[in-house]
Amino acid sequence: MNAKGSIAIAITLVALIAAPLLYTAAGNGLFTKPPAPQLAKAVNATECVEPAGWMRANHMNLLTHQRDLIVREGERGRKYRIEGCATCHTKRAEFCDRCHSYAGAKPECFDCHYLP
Amino acid sequence: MANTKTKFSAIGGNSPGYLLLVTVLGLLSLGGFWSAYMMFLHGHYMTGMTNAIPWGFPIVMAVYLIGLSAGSLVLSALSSVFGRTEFKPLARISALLAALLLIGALMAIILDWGRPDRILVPFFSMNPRSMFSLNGMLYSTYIGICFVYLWAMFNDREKLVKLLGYTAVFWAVLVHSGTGAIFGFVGARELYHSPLLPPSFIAAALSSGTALMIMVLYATFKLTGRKLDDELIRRLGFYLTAFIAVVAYFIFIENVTRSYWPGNYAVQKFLLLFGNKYSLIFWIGMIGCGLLFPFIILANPATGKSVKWILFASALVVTGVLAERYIIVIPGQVMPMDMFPGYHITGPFQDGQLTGYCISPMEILFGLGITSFVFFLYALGLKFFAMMPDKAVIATGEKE
Amino acid sequence: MSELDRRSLLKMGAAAIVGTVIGNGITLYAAPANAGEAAAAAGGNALEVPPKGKARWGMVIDNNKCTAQCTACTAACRAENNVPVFGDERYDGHWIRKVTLTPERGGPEKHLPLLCNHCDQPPCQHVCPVAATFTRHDGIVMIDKHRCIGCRYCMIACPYKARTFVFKETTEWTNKDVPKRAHGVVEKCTFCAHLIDQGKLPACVEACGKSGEAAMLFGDLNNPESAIVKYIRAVATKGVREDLGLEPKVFYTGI
Repeated sequence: MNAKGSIAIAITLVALIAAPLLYTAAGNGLFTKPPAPQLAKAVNATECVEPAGWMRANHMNLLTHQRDLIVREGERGRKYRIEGCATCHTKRAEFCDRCHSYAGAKPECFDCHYLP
Repeated sequence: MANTKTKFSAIGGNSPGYLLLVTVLGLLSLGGFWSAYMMFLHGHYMTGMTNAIPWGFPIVMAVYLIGLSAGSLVLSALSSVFGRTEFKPLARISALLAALLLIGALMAIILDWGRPDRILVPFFSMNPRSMFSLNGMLYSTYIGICFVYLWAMFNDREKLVKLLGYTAVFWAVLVHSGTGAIFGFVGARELYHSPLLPPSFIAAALSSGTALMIMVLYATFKLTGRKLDDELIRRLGFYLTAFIAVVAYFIFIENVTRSYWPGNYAVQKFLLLFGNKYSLIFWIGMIGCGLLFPFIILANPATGKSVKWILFASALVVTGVLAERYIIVIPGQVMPMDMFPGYHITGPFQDGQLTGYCISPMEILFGLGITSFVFFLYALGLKFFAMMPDKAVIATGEKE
Repeated sequence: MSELDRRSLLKMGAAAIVGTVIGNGITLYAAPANAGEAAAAAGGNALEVPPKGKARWGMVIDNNKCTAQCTACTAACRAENNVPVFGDERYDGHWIRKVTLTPERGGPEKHLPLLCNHCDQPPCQHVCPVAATFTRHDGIVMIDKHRCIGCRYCMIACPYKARTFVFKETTEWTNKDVPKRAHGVVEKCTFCAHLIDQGKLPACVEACGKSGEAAMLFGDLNNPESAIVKYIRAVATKGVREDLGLEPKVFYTGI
């Protein structure tokens, strides 16, 4: 392969990879930080099962770990369940979804699990 | 050796014909990916598959492409392993095509999953007992071996080439046996469960792969204006004749074994005698196109020496083996499982019925797209790497 | 017990199921054979759940009690587990389904429900490339739908057609406590593992008992005192395609 060909291929690849990123960035206003999401206040309790900051970073690991225990070992009724979240965070659209869309996370949980 | 050494070079790839070919193949591949994306987005009801026929045309295509890669690899190994040096100029393109066909097959399998987005799951949780995961390992290592083999050939590492040639042939036996075993090891379905499927799969892989290579080689050399000795095609045609005979033997034994046992009369009648879609594909596609007509053409001295006839026979074999793969995958599912011997069963889940399977346009696009993608990559490979020999002729001293 | 007793018991036991008055000596074995009574004796639909790893759940379906019209079990299953119905027999999900058996040599038709047999040697589990299908500690064969890649090899390997694929996105969601399935995974009967863990009977068994037919009996095959073990000891039962050697845990009488 000649050098010209390699450079052409490299540029094409970089352009292909960068195009969607640039497109999204341009759509959201380049380099401006979007406003923090307004999350609904939790009801029925003042504290989460773990400190809020820790939960923000790690709730997904908790849920997947518990998920495997429940599905594969049948150990239900544990401290952390996705249904448990719903006792305090009663409105998914105003809590989970807002933050997920802010962070660009697309969890599959709610495809199958009901949270009001 | 030094003066007879073949020179390899990349093709120019600037002619309108080449660009048109690449564009068409690229567009067809995009069509295939679009159909796979539709299946992923909306669900598999877009295909002809049903709950009674969970495996449809994409799986047929996958096992077909895996089979096709066998011929390429054998052609590549003929020079390094079996000492047929006249095939050495063809070793590079055939090793490339073997790897690409396997990549196409893996893509067909993965894009046919209900959840192709979970592509990483098999790497983290694997059941080593499943023929699928074993085959996944075999296929991916096989692709790797093919590429290392290519690298060794490019760098003229003679010893390594020989070693990798042996490894690749051994690995190919595993790969094709494993693919046959996906079906042969399933005890639940009468038309699947057979220890003959792995060897018969190897045989059909060799025949279809050799036939494909005859066509691809002829087309590639013709289109790039390089010289391909007719004698090479004739020798490949001779191998093809032998492979067809072996396939015929396996198919004969398998069907006679099944037909002999009175308990299987219903199944065999369905497959061989009912005059339905499947028996038509069995007799016309698999036996006629895949075995009988090409064998007659190739074994007949009047036609067997003509390149045109050999090409025609190869086209028949390539079509016939697609029919054979269809016959392996589909009728085994169409035939209802006899859960209650002595009873006729009816129920809401198409129980006890011969359920129909029709290939949907989406699946045809899928199969066409994946195949086009393989040849798209092949065409690109010829342009960017020194794959093609300047000429492939048998030295006068070697002529038999 | 002597051999003679056993044989007469078997005979009488079989008679007892058809609904005749149960004799004195047989009561001990045959009485709990009635799923409805067994459930009533245990207090509603409660289920005695042994400690983890001790249970081996099984089911007996008495084909003599199952009638043609009744669809209590299938309806209850659909309602409990959100099994999808698209109105197209090619794509409908089936966790439990009623089938009709017509003897080829004439005779009365038989009606019975078919469901996953939760084999002790499940071929579906053997072929699953990602170990999404697994056997739980209590012998229930389950699919981890978070892990299933939708390759459908298990549907090929299952000789009972117990598995269905989710061909489209399901919209109906009757029981919000139980997850539905996104399209592209394989689903099947779980013996209502989520109910068993709460000490309740599977939905189909409960519905069958309530419908008055009481053709289903669910219990622990490891517990020699359980109603199901006593029933299997007393009455000849048969699994579907036992010849395949998969050791199904759903037993039928009268087929």
